[in-house]
Amino acid sequence: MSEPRVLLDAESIEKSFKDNEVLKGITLKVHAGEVIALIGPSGAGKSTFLRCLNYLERPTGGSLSLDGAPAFTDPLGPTKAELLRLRRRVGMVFQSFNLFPHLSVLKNIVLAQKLNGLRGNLEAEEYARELLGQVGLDEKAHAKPAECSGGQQQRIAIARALSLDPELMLFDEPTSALDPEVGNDVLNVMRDLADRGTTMIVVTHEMRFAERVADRVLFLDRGGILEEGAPEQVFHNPSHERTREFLQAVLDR
Amino acid sequence: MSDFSFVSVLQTLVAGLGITILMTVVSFAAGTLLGIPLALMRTSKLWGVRFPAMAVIDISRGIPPLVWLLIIYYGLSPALPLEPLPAALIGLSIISAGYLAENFRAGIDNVHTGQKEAAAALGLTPSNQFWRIVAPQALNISIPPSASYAVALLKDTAIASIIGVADIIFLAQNEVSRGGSAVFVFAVAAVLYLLAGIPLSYFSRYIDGVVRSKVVSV
Repeated sequence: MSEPRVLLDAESIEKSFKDNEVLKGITLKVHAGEVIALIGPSGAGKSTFLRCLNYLERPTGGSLSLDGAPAFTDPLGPTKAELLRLRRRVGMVFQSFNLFPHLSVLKNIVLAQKLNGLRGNLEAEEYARELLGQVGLDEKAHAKPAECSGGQQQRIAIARALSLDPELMLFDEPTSALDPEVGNDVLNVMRDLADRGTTMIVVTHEMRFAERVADRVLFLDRGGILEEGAPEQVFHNPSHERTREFLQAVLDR
Repeated sequence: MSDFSFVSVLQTLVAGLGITILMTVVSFAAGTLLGIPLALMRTSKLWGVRFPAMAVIDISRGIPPLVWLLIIYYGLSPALPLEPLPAALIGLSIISAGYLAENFRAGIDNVHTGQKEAAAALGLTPSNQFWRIVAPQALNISIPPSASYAVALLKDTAIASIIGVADIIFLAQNEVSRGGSAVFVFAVAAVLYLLAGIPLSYFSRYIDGVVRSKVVSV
C-alpha cells in the first residue's frame, strides 16, 4: 500500500502575543483520512495551534500547505482571497458552538454554502437536511439554536462546518462545554465522521475518545510537541515523565 | 371670562399633542438614520474614522438639549433663520443621533466574538461577517434601550416650547398666562404625556421580552 498523501503540512508554526511565546515552532503533517488528537495541559497552546491552522489566529512564523500547495504566498501577510480559500477548505467546530442565534438551524447550515457560491438555495437546503439527518437532528431544521440543547447545538455546528465539504475538520474542545452524557452524542457523531474517512484534528480532554478514535496522539506542553505517536504508545508507554504526570492527573480525576 | 374646566383645558392642550408626537417620531427616525452610520464609524479600526464619530457623539450628548435648541434657534438665526419647529427638529435629531449611535455601538460590541469567528471560519467575507451575522444581532440587542430612549425623547421634546414650538407645554403656559391654575393645567399636560408615553413604554417592554427570548447567545 502506498503512503497516503499529505493533506496538511504545518511547518514550524510559531505564535507570540507580544513577548509571550505561545507556540515555539510546531511541525505537523496530517495524511488524508487521518485523525489526530491534540492533548496536553491548559495553556500548552493546543487551541492556539488549531486556530493557526485556519488563520483565526495569525501565526507569527512558519508556513501552511494544503494538499501539496502553499496556502499563502506570504504566510505573514495573507491576502483576503487566500484566507477565504483556506477557510472554505478547513471546517472548524468551537467549544462554545457559536451557532448564529438569529437564524434557524437550517439557515445556519445553508448560509455559508450560499454565500460561498457552493450551492443554490434549494440544493443547499437539501444538503443541510441531509447533514442534519447525519447528526441525528432532522426534526430541528426549523428550530432556533436557543431551542436546542447544548449537545444538539454542537451537532448542528458540526453539520454547519461539514456543509462546505471541508477537506479537513478542526475540533476545538468540542465537548468541554457539555455534560458527559450529552458529550457522548457529539463524540459518536465525530467517531462516525472518522469512520467515513474524514481528516480531523481534535483538541480534547476526552482521553478515552482520543485513545479509541485517533490514529495519532500529540502531547503538547509549553508551546511545543513533547511527544507524539500511536494512542497505545502515548497513553500506555509514554517516553516522557511530563506526559506520564499529565496522563496520571487526568486519569485520576 | 375664560373657561378652565378639565375638558376645555384638555381640548386646548390636545392641539399640541400632535406636535409633541411629531417631534418625537421625526427626531427618533432621523436619529436612527444618522446614528447607524455614526455607530459604524465609531467601531472602525481606523482612528481617523473613529475619532470624528466619537467627537460628534460626545458633543451631541454632552450639551444640554435646551442649550442645543437655543444655539440652533438663536445662534444660527443671523446666517440661517429658522422657524421654531424646524430648529427643534434639527436639535432633537442631533441629540437622538448621539444616543442611538451609542446604543447601536453597544449592540455591535456586545455580539459575542465567537460569532464573528464562526462566520470567518465558514469562509464569509468580512463584509458578510458583519452584515449577515453581527449587524442583525447588534440591532436586536440595541432595540430595548432604543425603545426606552424613545420614551425619554417624548418627554425631552417639552423643551422645544422654550423656543416657541406650539407643543403641549407651550399651550399649557399660554393657558396659565391667561389665568388658569398652573398646577391644574400642568397636571392635565402630565396626563397627556402619560397617555402618549404608555403605549411606547408598553411596546418597549414587549420588545425587550421578544429580544431576550430570541437572542440567547452562549
